Amino acid sequence: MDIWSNILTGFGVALSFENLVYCFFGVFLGTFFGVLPGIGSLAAVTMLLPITYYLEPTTALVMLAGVYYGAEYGGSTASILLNLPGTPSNAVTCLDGYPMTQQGRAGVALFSTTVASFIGGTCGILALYALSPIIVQWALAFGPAEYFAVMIFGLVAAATVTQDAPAKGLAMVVLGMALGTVGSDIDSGVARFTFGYFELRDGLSFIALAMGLFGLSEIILSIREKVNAPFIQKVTLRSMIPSRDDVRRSVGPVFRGAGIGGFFGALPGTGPSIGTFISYAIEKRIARDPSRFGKGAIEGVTAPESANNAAVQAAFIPTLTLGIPGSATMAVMMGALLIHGITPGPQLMTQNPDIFWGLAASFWIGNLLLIVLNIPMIGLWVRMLKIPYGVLYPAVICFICIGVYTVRTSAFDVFVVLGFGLLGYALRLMRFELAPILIGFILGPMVEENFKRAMLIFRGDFTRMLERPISGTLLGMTALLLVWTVWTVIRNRRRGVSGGLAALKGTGNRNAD
Amino acid sequence: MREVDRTDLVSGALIIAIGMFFFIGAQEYRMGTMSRMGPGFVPYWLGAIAMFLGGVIALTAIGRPGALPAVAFRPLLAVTAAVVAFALILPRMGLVTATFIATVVSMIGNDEARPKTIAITAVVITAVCWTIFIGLLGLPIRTLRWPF
Repeated sequence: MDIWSNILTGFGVALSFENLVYCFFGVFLGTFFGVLPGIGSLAAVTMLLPITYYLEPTTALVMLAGVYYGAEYGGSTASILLNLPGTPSNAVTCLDGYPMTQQGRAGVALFSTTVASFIGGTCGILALYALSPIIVQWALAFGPAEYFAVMIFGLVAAATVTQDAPAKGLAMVVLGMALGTVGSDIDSGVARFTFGYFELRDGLSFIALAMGLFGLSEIILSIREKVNAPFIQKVTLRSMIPSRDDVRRSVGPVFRGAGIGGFFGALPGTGPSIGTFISYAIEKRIARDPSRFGKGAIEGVTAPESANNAAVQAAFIPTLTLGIPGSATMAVMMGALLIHGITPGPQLMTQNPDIFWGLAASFWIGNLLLIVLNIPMIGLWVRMLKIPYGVLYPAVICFICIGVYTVRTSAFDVFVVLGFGLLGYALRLMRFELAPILIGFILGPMVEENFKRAMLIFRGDFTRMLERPISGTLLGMTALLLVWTVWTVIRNRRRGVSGGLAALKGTGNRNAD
Repeated sequence: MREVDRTDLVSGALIIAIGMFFFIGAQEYRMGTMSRMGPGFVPYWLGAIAMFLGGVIALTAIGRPGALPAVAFRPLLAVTAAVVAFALILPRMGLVTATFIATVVSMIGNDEARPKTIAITAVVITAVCWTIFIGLLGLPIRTLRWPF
C-alpha cells in the first residue's frame, strides 16, 4: 500500500541525524519552557521561532513541533507539583494532580502523566495518518468559496465554543482580522493603515504580535503574584511506580481521553483545552464513585493529559491538510511554515510529501523522546520549578526583545511588541481571551482573499455560495453555532449561572493555548 | 440606578472605539463592488461588525454588578520602560548594554527585588543572552558599541 511507503519515507526523513538532534532540542527546550509557570506552549514556540530561521524547513518544523508538545507535556509537571498550570490545557490536571501531590503521590502522578501523554499522542498521530489523506482528497477539490466557509466556521468555533462570553470572543476574532488587514492589499497594492511607516507595508509582524500578547502582557500580570520561589516536594524514581490499582483505573480513561482529545483537536478552531475539560467531565460522570474526583483520583490526571496530547497531535490535521490552524499555537506553527516559504494546505502533502510525512514521523519519535527524557530527568525539572519568577521574567523580556529584533533587524518591531504587550494587558484585565486574536490575524488575510475571489467568480451574488454543497453546509453550521451560542447565553443569564465549562475553567489560568 | 458591570462596559467601549478606527479609516480606500471588492471593503465591514459586538458587550453589562479591575502600575511601567530602553539602546550601543539595562529596569517592577539580586541577575542574563544569540547562533548583532 502507498501509505506504508509514505510512512517509511517519513521515518527516513525524521531519523536523519540533523532532524533527530533538533527534535531532541525541541522536545527538551519545550519541556523546559513548559515546566516554567507562566510560559505557555505558545510563548515557547514563538520565542524559539527566530532560532529556526537558519534551518531547513523540515528541520525547523520538526523542532518547533517538538517545542509545542514538549511544552504541553512539561506544563503538567507544574500543575501536579505546584497547582500552577504551565499551559492552560493543563489547568484540569491541577484538579486531581495537586491533591495527589498533597497525599505524597506526586511521583505516581508524574509517571502516569508521562505514559498517558505518550498513549494520547500516539493515538493523535494515528489519526493524523489515517485522516489526512482523506481530507486532502476532499480539499483538493476546494474552491475559494469552500475555503472561505471552512475558515469562517473555524473562526466562529474558536471564538464561541470555549468562551464564557461569546461576544467577547467574537470581538477578539474580528480584532485579529482587522489587524491582519494592516499592510499592502494583495489585489491593489494599496497600503492600508500604515500611516506612512515603511515597516508596516509587509503587515504587522506576527511574531511581534504573538510575543506582545502572550509574552509581555503575561509578565506584567504575573510580576506581583509569583515572585517567590515555591516549596516543592522531592520526587524520587522509586516513588514514581504506580500501583496495580492505578494502572487498572487508568486504562479506560486514557483511551477515552485520547478519543475525545483527538476529535476536538482535529476540529478547526477548537484547541486542546476543550478536549481536556470534556474528557475530565466525562470521566467524572461515568465514574462509579464521582466523589473521588478533586481529591486525587488518578483518572482525573491521566484522562485529560491523554486528551491534551492527542489534541495537540490531531491539531496538526487541519493545519497541515487545509491550512487552517486549530489553535493559536497552531497559528504560530503555520506562520513558521509561511516564513519558510511553504504554504500549508492540500498541496503540501502532494508537493512536499517529505515534509508532511517526515513531520508526522518526527512526532512519534519526539513523543518517545519525551518518555526517555522525562522519567530519568524528573529531578532536574523539579529543581527548575524552584527558579523564582522574579529572576525569570527579566530573562524572558530580553529573549522576547532579541528574538523580535533579529527577525527583521528592526527596532520598530520591538515597539510593536510593546504596543501589543500593553494592549494584551488591557484586554486581559477586561477578561478577554487573547487566543482568538492570533487565529483571526493569521486567517484574516486568507479569508479576505478567498472571499474576494469567490465573489468575483459568483459575480457578487452571495447566495451562490450557499447553493454549493460544502460551503453551504459549513456556513449553515456556522449559523447554527451562532444561534446556539446566543441561546445558551440567554438561558444562562435567565438562570443566573454560568455553564459547567465556565465553572471548570475557573481553576486559575489566564493563558491562552 | 441599575447595576452595571463596569469592566464589561469599558470593554464594550474599547471594542467600539477599535471598530470605529477601522470603519472610518477604511473609507479612505476604494470600496469597490460586491464582485470586485476594493481594499476598503473588508476593513470597513470588520469595523462595522466590531462596533456591533462592542455594543452587545456593553449592553449585556447592564444588570449585573462588577468593578473595574485594578491596574498594576509598577510592573506595567517597569516592563514598558525596559522594552523602550532595549529598543533604543540595542542599535546604538550593542547587545550587552541593551540586555543589561533592560534587565535592571524591568526588575525595578518587582518591589521585592534587592539591589544585589538585581545586579547579579543582570550580569547572568546578559552573559546567557550573549552566549546564546552571539556565541552559539552567531546573529548579526553588535556585542558592544560606543556611539560617542
